[in-house]
Amino acid sequence: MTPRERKAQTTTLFHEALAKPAERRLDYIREASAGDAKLFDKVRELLEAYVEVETAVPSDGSDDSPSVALQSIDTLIDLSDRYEEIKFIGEGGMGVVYRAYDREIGKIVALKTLHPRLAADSRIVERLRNETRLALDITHRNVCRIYGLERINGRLLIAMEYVDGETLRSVLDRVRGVSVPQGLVWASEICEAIGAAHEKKIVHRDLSRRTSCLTVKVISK
Amino acid sequence: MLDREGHIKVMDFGIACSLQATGDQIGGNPGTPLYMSPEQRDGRPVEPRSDIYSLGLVLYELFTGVRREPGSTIPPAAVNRYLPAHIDDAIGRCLEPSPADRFQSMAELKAALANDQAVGRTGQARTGVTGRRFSTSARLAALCVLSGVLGLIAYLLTRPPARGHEDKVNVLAFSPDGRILASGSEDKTIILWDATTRHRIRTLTDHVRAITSLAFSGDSRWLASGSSNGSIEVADVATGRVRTTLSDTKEIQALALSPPVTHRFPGRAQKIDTTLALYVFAQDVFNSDLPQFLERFRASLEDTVGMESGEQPSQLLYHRCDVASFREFDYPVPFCLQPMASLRGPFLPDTNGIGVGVLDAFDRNIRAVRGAYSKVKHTGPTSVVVAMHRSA
Repeated sequence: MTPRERKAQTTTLFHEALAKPAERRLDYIREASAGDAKLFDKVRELLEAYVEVETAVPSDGSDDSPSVALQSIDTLIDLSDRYEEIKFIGEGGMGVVYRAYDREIGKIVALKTLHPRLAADSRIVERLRNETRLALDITHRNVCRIYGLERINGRLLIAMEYVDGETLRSVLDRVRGVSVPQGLVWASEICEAIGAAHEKKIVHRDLSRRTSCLTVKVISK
Repeated sequence: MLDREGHIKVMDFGIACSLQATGDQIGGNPGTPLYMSPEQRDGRPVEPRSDIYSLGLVLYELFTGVRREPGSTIPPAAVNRYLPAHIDDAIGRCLEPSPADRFQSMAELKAALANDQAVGRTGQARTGVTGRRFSTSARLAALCVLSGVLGLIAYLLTRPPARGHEDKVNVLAFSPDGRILASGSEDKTIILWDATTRHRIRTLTDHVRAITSLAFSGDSRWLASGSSNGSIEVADVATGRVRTTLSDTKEIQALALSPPVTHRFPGRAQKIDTTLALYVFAQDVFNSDLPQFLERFRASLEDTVGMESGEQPSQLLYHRCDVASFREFDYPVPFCLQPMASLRGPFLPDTNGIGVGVLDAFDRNIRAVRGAYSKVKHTGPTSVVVAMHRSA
């Protein structure tokens, strides 16, 4: 079976299963995959991701476009040649974010999918492309690394370093302020990270918007 | 990566953000201007100094635990009274409405936070008109809060605390502000822990023998540590740099460090004295090198606290006590000693009160802590019970 046929098979089975009631889906794919464990695992993974996204980002009820969850899943089916162990981790400003294993580079990555509504706007896509290009240049240990921008069947997706940690915001929500020395360590790391971007002249008309979205994760390795 | 400490990763340079901010143009998510600088919000040209403003708001929250309220005129040091003045100043300067009044680069800001005067002072001098500064920018901030959502995007979590010492833990000390726990170990290192987040802040590796005693100064700025070979080091808590090294002849069993003392002189304004009293408990009472030791201690303290000439410490307190005096306790060594000042009342040079903290539950936790900080239950200086005090 060629990879293309394999993908078609996965997609078909996924959509067939989706049409069944939730509690019957697993039985259905077990039956339909007929002992093909790989196919079974793949489709089950997709179904789980779909349910997670659908729970987190319910469809807005408009009939003319598929739900966010479905669009994202379709994207991921397209990507299943390259990525595996796909897990839903959250919804960002631009769309759904997944964690996945990238077979090509042998690494866990974070995948940001672009919300279908945004993907339809060519200005936004253009801006996204520009900014990804700039962000690719920043290599600093305190900056989350961008691996690249992928376009799959007209959908856009950014692959970036997967950071296992929590945001500064969630830390602060929990502890209400940190000790002075701890704060100084973190403050100095943020200064260095943003300073590194400034050195690369990553300052232009849009920096305003990026700054507002400064997302900081605290990681422990 | 070998790194086991909590580090920062700045995410999403531009990517999600430009889309969020343009959300209003395509109908849907409004912008997220909570951390925006005034010029960004007004649509004026944006530059690195706009990042500095936004970071100022993040730092305000980091050091105080609260987001700066719109319309607030409260400087960070008024929220967190333990915040050193230079950090308070630095945050205030980040938040100047006019970019020209802010730090001009991230390097400048970083130096100012580290109190690195060689670099930090190259920027323009600030006048201390905190109230006005805050009210102006705060009014602008109020505008942006109205429109919206958070600038910091939340993601996930997890987080076991970092690993602890490689050998048994001998001593623990909380800073008087309750925010830091220091642990000294047989493995010759001291680890500073953030008592609230449980992250390891840093490891001090200046001693060459097992750490036997630890003491914070009353203002939480200095950490004195003693070692089994008789050396004593006083380190700056904020930077981890050792500022004073002394050596005694015997194993140091316990230390206590006073806060700077406030004196009143007749007919003159109140004066902050820079005296730090170091109490050293060693195995023997007699030390033939004591005068020399005191002289070196005094000289190094002058460096430590950066006194200007003419402002000699009025008195240097150095007390050496016999550990045998504490034998009435069941504990081999009083592991927690605090000058009375940090426990109750002002510390005065002639009172010499020493609080000795011992508490069963506390001790159990110290045993439990061997190897990992995560088992510590008590996270505040209030856990320390004054069991005894004596005149030295």
